[in-house]
Amino acid sequence: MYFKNLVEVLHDIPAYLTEEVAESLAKSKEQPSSDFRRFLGVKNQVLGWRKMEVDLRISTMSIQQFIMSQQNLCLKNLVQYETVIAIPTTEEVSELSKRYVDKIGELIVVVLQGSLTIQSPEFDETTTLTSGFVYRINNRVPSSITVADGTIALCLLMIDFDLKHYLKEWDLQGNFLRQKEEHKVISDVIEEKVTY
Amino acid sequence: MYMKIPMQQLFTVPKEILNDARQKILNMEATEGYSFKLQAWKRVDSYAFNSPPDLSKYVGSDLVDYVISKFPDDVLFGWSLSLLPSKEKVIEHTDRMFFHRFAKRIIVPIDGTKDVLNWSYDNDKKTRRYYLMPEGFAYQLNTAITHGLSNNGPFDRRAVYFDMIDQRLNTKFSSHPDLKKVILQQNTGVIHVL
Repeated sequence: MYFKNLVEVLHDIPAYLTEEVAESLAKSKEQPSSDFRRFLGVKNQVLGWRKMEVDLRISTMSIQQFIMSQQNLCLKNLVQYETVIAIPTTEEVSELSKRYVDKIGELIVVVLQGSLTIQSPEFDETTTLTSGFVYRINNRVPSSITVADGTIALCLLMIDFDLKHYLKEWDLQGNFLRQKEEHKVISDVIEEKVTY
Repeated sequence: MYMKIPMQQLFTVPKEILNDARQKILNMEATEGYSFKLQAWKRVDSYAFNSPPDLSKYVGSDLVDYVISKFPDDVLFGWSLSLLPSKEKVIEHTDRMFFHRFAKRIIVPIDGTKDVLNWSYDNDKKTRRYYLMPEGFAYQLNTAITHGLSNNGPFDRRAVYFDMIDQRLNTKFSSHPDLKKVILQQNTGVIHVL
């Protein structure tokens, strides 16, 4: 979803929750692999929730439930759409995500290991994401990412429960071109807020 | 709205109500005419107006009240009048706006439905499924899949479309920035918004 910053810190998160996921991933036979979905850069490697082994799935659910328990207003009405472990790789300026679900959904990122720095030509800011915090990412602007070695992150893509039900898979996964008037001049942008 | 079937017959519409609506639509055609044309397919859409007129103005309150009374939990979100001349086709399309996924598209054929062949595509996106929608009934159409129709009969086919949305969803999404925007860039078949 679009908002008027590149990254927003929602709140912090206990280290034991992220450590548990990292430990489960280290033991897992299933590891992130290349994927067309752009969570953190075009060439990010992804392990989706459906392919996760049980221990890893349970530990990622704990983080998700913890985040929802914080009752942040921007997550009101939102439910899980995609939950993935992502390994970002350094990229030139990434392409803007084109999936409609990326326009209407919230991308929440929790760094499990390492750190990543994200910047966008559309915002005068550079943010370094580290473990210990829950971040909301503006995935409606092109951005570039620089990562430390061994960086692993948990990415939660969440959408409104009614949209998950009524919009079809081809709507959510379909290409949505950035509209001419959409976020053209940053200062004039009206931030999309959840009012329902 | 997506359904697991292409079309569902919902309820009967009394002949006198249809006749009354038909007369009023003929009056509209003789005076204002249709405001939108896609090849031979003519339409008046509430969505084209900043402040849409009451549908009753075009088809009479009997039909509007009758259809709305069948959906006590819904609101009339929008409407369209449709005219497909004899021997003409409606190009294959999928309804692609955000609200289309919430709205029940209710079609009430007014006249000229003899030999009008409707179709949509099966899950394989190749197999056409044909169906008829004769007058005297109201139907709900699956607008999320590619559909089209061909008027093979000797008469012009007129119909009224009611887009009914659940009150809760209408309240919830009335301020959504994409409500009346096209959300799909690509789909099977030739694409048009409606």
